[in-house]
Amino acid sequence: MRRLSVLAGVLCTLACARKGPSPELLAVARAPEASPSDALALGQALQAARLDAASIGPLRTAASRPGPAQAPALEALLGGQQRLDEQLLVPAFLAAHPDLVPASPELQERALLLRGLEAQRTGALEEAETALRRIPPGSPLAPRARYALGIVLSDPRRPGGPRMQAALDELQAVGGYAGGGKEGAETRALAQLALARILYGLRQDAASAAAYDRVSRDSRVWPESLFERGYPRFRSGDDGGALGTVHATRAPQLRDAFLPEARILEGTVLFHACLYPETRAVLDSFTATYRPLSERLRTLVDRRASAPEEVALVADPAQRASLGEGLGASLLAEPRIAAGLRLLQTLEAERAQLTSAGPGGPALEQLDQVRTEAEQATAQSVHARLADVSASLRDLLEQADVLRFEMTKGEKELLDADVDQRKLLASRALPPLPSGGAADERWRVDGEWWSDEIGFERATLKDGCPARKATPSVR
Amino acid sequence: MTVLGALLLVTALGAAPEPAPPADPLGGSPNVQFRVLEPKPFPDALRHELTLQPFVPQIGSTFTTHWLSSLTYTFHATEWLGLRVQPFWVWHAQRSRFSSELLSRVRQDAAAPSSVMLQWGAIAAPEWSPIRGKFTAFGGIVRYGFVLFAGAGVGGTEIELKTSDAVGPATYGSTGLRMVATGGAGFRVQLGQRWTVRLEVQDLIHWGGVSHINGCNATDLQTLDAQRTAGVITGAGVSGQCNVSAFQGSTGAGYDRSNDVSIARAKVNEGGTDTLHVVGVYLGFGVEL
Repeated sequence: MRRLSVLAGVLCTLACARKGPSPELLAVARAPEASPSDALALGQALQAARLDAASIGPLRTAASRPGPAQAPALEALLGGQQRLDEQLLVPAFLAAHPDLVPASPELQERALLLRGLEAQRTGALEEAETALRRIPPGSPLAPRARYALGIVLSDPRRPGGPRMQAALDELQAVGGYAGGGKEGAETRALAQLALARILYGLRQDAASAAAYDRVSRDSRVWPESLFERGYPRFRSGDDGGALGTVHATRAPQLRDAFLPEARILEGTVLFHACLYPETRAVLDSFTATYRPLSERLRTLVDRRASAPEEVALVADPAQRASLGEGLGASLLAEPRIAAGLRLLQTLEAERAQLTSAGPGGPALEQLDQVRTEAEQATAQSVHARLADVSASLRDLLEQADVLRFEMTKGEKELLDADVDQRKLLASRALPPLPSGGAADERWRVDGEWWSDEIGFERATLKDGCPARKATPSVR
Repeated sequence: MTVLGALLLVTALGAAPEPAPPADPLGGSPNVQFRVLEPKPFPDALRHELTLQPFVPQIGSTFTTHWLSSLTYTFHATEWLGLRVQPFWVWHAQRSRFSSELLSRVRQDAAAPSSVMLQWGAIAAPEWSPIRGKFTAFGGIVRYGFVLFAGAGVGGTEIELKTSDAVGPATYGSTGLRMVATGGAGFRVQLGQRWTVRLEVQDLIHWGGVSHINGCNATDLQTLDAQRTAGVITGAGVSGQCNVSAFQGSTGAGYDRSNDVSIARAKVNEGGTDTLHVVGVYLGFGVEL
């Protein structure tokens, strides 16, 4: 054993110097299941050869067994996770081994964050809250942790019930953290979106709309926030603002955003103004677009394809494009799916490196095992997302049918009251559009979509109702 | 095609932001209308803008040619209104080619009031930006405004006395301060938070007759001419404003300045008035503070 460790150390040094896997190492290394030390040696050697993804397997083996190899294996595993930004296998491993605690405070915080996020994902909200609360506010991981904590605290499934004010406090605190690069900006945007959603849930419509407005335009979630902010505006009686912001999601610049619900909100606003022809046009267009997609998705979800097939659905550009309507792009942008695909790509590249260096041996076996797990985890995420979308589309199509029914009822009422709506609408002038302030630029909307104008659209619409109705409750 | 025309063409060509999206079910509805109310990315109100127009050629001149440089300070009181103060310096003013040919071929000189040239000046004018637009260029969106302005100021003027010939270069006499009115229009392009480019056409208008040259009126010039005929220009008996030294001595090329007296006298005695336009194309580069 000692002889093997020394040899592994020497070969590790060689691997570092060569910046590639040593064929000799791969040949002599024993299967990591044999002993934690062997697993650690193999994992460290793979990391030295910059094969972080391949090292996950042996390092997990070493870290899961008590003994002298456990602590260094855990540290190496967390180091590799950080370099890879791996979000599937290592968090799951840490959640399954809650007693493992790294020595350094930085790695402790990382382990807590990963455990907390994994627990939140799997619905273990109590564990998630406990883990996330232990990350100090001064930690570089604090923004991510506090965002996740805000989500946990606002979750209706939280044991003891949601704590909305505490959730708002955590989410607001995230906005106070500057820097952090792209990831930091994304976390702040996510927190802002979550803040807006909670405020909407608390029926604080003005504050919610303002919070939606503050979601960064550069963030991944901006298109989502754009349409969602139509809800507080609509509920507070700002039909023009609601229709304007929802209409903006038709911009071709947002073609990669999957926002079918925006069309239902658009139809609802128009229905509320009794603009039945317009409502029908929007709903017909919605159904024509999304019913075929819903049917395709239902087949796809029910068929329960194999993991490689489900991964290929997102990874292969042609298959992804076949999903249509921005769904493929939105799947690709899902952080967990994106992380899974990234890991699979890395594993593929490392596999090529390993096989080019020699027979591969146990390292290759470990890599293939990790690859299978990563593929399954990614496929699970794809499947879960597709199932969500499929259920959501079915729900939205039903909502469209309900709106159609209500519309038919409204039209019948007009007929019963002997109201000619066309004449009624012709007799009513369009209310003036808001003119804005001195520092506002006013642009006509004439079919062109300028990226800088998206999100600043306002609408004015005639009221086609003989008498005003109460604002319907939405969401 | 003029520079202005080229800019308009570029603006029109660059105005397509994105390919057309799928049909919008609300597109043709008479019951719904949309408008974009976008906060100005670079507000102008209460900001100061300094624009340097290093080379301004005169266009459409008849008897004179001016090349000048100008510095424009604009205070944007609101998003739409500003006040500009614009000193300028004419570093090249001379008889136009047409006027020179007229003189050399048919011995016909332009009337003195039509030959007065600007030397320098400063004008103040309110500025109005009634129209704004934008176009795509270099992967981004460039905003521009159409600006109109009109105002007034003062300018120093001069007139050519001796034409440029084998004896030496042309000589000039000051025709004093004149009121200058101005009007112009153009485009102001904003490049980010700080930088601006302006392309404007501006008319500097001055008018009047030639009653003094180098401060000397007709009587002074008659006196000086008599002194020159007698042998020496002493300057005795002329008014205090008359700059006698301008007619004394010789130029670097050896031209006797006293010869200018009779030319100046003839120009002053011509009488009449004219309104002169110095229309220039002002390409300026500015910074907004």
